Amino acid sequence: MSMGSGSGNNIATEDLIPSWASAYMTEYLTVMSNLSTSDYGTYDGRYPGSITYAPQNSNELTGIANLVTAGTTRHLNVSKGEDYLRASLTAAKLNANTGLLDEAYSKRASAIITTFQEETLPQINQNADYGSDSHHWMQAKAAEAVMATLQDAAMDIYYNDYLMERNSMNSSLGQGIDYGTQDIHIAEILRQAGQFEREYTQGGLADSYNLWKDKNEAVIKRLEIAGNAVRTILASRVENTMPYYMPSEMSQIAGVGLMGLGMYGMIKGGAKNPSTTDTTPTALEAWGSQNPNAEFYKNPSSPYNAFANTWGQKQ
Amino acid sequence: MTGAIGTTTATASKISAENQKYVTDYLKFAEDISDSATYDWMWTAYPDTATAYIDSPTSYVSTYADLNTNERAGLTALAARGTTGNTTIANGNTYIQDVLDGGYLPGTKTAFTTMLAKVTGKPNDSFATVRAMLGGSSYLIGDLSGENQAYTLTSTLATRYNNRATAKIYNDNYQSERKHQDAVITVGVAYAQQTIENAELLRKAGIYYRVWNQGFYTDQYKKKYLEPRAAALNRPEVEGNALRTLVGSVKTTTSQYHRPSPFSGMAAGAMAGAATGNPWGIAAGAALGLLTTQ
Repeated sequence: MSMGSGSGNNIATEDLIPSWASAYMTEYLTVMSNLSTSDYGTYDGRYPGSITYAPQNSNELTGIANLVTAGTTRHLNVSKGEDYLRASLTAAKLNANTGLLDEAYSKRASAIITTFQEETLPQINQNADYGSDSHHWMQAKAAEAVMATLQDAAMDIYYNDYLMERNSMNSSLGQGIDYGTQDIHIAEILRQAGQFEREYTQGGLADSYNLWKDKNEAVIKRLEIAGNAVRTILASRVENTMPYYMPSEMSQIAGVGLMGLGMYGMIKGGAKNPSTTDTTPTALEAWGSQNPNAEFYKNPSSPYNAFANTWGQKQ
Repeated sequence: MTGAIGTTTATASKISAENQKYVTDYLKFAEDISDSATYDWMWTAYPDTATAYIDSPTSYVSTYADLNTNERAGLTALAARGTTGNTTIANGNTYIQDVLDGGYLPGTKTAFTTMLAKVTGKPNDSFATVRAMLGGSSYLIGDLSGENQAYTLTSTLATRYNNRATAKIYNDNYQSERKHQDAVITVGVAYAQQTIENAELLRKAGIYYRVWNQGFYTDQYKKKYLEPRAAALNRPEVEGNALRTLVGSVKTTTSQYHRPSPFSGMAAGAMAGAATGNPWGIAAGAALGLLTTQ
């Protein structure tokens, strides 16, 4: 028999899932545990080459290459057009046609002179008194007509050419800005071609980085698989352990002994039988008569009186 | 002989014994990720030597693509264009200003005078040929002077007709050049704005580069500064999160209780023993009272 303390634990258990679901819980935990410990594998690739970043195909590459070409060398239309416009705007086209103009005038003047010589002059010589004053006047007037014709021919050829080229100079202004800004478009195309290349390169770098991050995050995800399983099982069963205390056997025995001692004292000290009208003074009353100045006798409301009334009550 | 102060402990656990293994495994995994050298690779910066899919980047731009040759050439060309402008447009501006200044009105430009010289000179040369054909025979009876009257009569013809032609051309030229001035006015502003376009182009070329450069700086800031610091904070938090999952899974309450002191037990027992009216009763009572407090 133990004489020590009598305390112990009271364990109350609450199951928050039905008992028939325990097997499923175990299976679930096993699967989650296995998943969280399995290694992160390299992407096996559904597509050929196990890649995650699509390569550029031939059309795209050729297109970019052609853009580079267009951005590096100007089209002949543009370069020739600009050359033409610059020549026009700097008056290089004025009187540039000298050879043809001279040839044209020469032929026309020759025709005029020939006509005068072979037609006009013989008629005058035939109709006038040769060598006379009128003969000379007729010749002079005919020569004046030739001079006027020659002048008109010169103006037609040279002055009209000049006017035409001057008009062309003004017209060139209308195209100057279009042609003059083609070099901007060309440079921009070259820049964009380079940007297209860089964007593709950037995509590749980003893809590599994302693959690295995926590996990184996969470990955390694996941890969370285990964490989710843990959170699922938390509070599926609650065990409450409450200590309780019983008096020790020693104190129980001592308490019984005290009770016996008290009873003995009461009997020996003249405790009255409550069912009789025994008038024998109790030991306390006897003591009290010998000590009339005792506190509890003087003061009826003193707690000592209550004690006395309880234990020394006469029956 | 003082009173006894004891503690009593009550426990509420949400983890059953058969499931404790999974919880332990979870915590161990979290601890490994946070502390173990095996997982150091997760928390260090993205390696600079990583190879991109297409290019092998330089050591400082492994996540940020450098400007390539074509793009740099394009930017250089744009900047040059924005700086020096275009010759065709420059020529156009010069021409416009010359026309509006009336440079072509008086007919003093070389091209005009050259043309005028042709208009007057060529007929002169041709008429000299015609003049040589004029005149009759000098054997006319009675005319011993030998003078060629037709030749003499035509001596000023070329000059007279040249002057007429010259005057007509100057006047026609003036009329024509006035119309050109009116035409040039309509495009003057468009050409003038090209100066602004050039400046804007130069600015854009600079911005294209700056945008790329800013991306580089931002990328470096993230990779070299922010991410390592975030990793240093996140690493222990992996374990912290795991621990937070378990907060509340066990609740242990410890409270105090007081027991009567041995002295008070003795006093009570002595009082009970005093009822026997016997000193030995008092002693026995005190002893028993002491025992009740054990």
